[in-house]
Amino acid sequence: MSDILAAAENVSKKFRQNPDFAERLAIRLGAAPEPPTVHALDGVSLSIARGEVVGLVGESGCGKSTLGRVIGGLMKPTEGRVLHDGKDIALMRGAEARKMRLDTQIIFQDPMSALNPRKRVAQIIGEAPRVHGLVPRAEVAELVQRLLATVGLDPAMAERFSHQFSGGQRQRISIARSLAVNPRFLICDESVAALDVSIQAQVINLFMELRRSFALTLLFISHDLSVVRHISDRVVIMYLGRVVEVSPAGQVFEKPLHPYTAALLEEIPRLDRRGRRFTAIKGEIPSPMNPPPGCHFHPRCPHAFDRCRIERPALVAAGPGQEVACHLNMGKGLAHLPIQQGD
Amino acid sequence: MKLTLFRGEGMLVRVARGLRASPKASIALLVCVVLIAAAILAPLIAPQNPYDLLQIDIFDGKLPPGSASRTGSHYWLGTDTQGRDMYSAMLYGLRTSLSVGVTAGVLALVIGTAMGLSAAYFGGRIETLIMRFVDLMLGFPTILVALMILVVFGQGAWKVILALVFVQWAYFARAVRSAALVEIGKDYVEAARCLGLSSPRILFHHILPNCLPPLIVIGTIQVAHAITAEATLSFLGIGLPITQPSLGLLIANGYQVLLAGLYWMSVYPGLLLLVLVFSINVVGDRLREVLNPRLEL
Repeated sequence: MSDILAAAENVSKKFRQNPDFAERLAIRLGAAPEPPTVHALDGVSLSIARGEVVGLVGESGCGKSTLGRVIGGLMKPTEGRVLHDGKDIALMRGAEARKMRLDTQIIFQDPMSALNPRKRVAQIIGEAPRVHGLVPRAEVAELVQRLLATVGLDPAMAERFSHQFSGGQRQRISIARSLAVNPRFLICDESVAALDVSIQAQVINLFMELRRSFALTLLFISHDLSVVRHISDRVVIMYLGRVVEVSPAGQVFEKPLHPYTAALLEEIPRLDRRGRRFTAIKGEIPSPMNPPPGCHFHPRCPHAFDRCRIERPALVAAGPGQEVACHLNMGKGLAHLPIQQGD
Repeated sequence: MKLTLFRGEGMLVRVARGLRASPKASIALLVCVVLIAAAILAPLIAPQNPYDLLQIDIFDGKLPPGSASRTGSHYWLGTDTQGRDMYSAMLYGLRTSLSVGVTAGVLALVIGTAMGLSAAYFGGRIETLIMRFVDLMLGFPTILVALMILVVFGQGAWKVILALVFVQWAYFARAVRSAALVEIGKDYVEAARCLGLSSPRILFHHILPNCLPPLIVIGTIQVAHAITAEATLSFLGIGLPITQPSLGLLIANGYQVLLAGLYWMSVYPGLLLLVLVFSINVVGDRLREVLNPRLEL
């Protein structure tokens, strides 16, 4: 199991507004409703092997960013464990915790707010290695120059402020900032979603280059299947706080197992299907405050039957390297068409 | 290129540019600078030390503005009942008023900022405790609280400062907390946590510098408030002791003889106080316009 760099074991995350004293009193007296609980993650298990690029896909609000932050150690899970190198990060202390903290870096979505507007690029990138003593003070400037060159920026720009850069350049600065602490694991939380398509391609290529030259493991979170397809070894599909399918990247596009994955793939614009009308998946994503019972996807699933409305499908192996959480075809999803309901 | 240069400049340059663009604010700033310089240099530029009994002559008392003294010099703003040169007394009074006001303002800023930042960063029970206390403080009338403190602790410059800080820190705490909450929600704070930086470092190196604009504005205006509040307390006779007269105390002293027609003893210190507080407020208002993040490009 030493092959697994990071893993989430049955992780749940609930967000609940903490009522203050007056609100608690009002609730006790029946004058106010209980504050709603948001189930952002509901029993998610996921393991990421060393050197692997995992794409995490889902609609907005399905909990993929929360999962990224939980695996990255920035949020504590409500239930379940997060393991790094086989050790529970909640139990790490001192030097071990610090090493884990620096080993795992998150690249955020919005390049505008991810950089401190009052700092110069050299400070933004150089602060963490200087504070942690990763390089001698005299060599920090040199490190910054080298990192800027690594992410494809002119090292002469080190003295500028972040607002003097374009979105793509800022994202490169964020990447350089993360690389400055020698991470092994990068979590890219919608890191290219805010960029123009042409810039997206450049930044994705940068990620792939860095992955090779720094032997990085990547968790690439996106709502865009075509971006994920380009770079991932393995794709994880999430729906409303649960993992519904895990497949090797090639398989998932050829032979989707979950009806939700199939519906998502239908919507990727393709040249050979010009002129086709787009039929959005029917209905809205249900509210995570009040998720439907059984399989979360059943209200929108064209193949749903009685069992889907009652019992939560487990994530089980359904093919070579593929896992799916669906009751169809005895838990193998759409593997053997035509579809057979039940078992 | 010009635009990038403009956007890349520091806060100080932007403040200077913004103040210069408004003639009203430029004049107000000039007045502030002159008054502060006069207060600092008072012992050097005042014709006499009004609190050195050897330099004042009781027979020169109650002279109207422009009178000649017995030694031949002129009292351009008249003298008070003790024969002090009003101009000198006002310079020394300005010195006292400004130092009490600025000290109280700065102390309130430091304490309020620490409270507001902790409330925003730690949240939960700490935040509830601090912010409910702030609400309580803001609910009391300033002068009432200051009066109570001075009645309990007695007179003295440091006691006045204590009273002013006690009634003013809550304004800073509230402003800093709301500014800090906005900043904490931004990704760069989470990125800093991700880089393993310590809480004090994130608070003071990342969040605080981004909360400075509203702090500077409130700080300026609160200094003006502190000066006014101190003048009020001194006028009421419970502020500074008679040996350290501030502008407020000068006004109070002159007030006793105002109806006898000796207007200059309270009107001139009053005018000086008015000009001082007014110009600080004008500068503060302009700073608010310049530093408003919504006007920032």
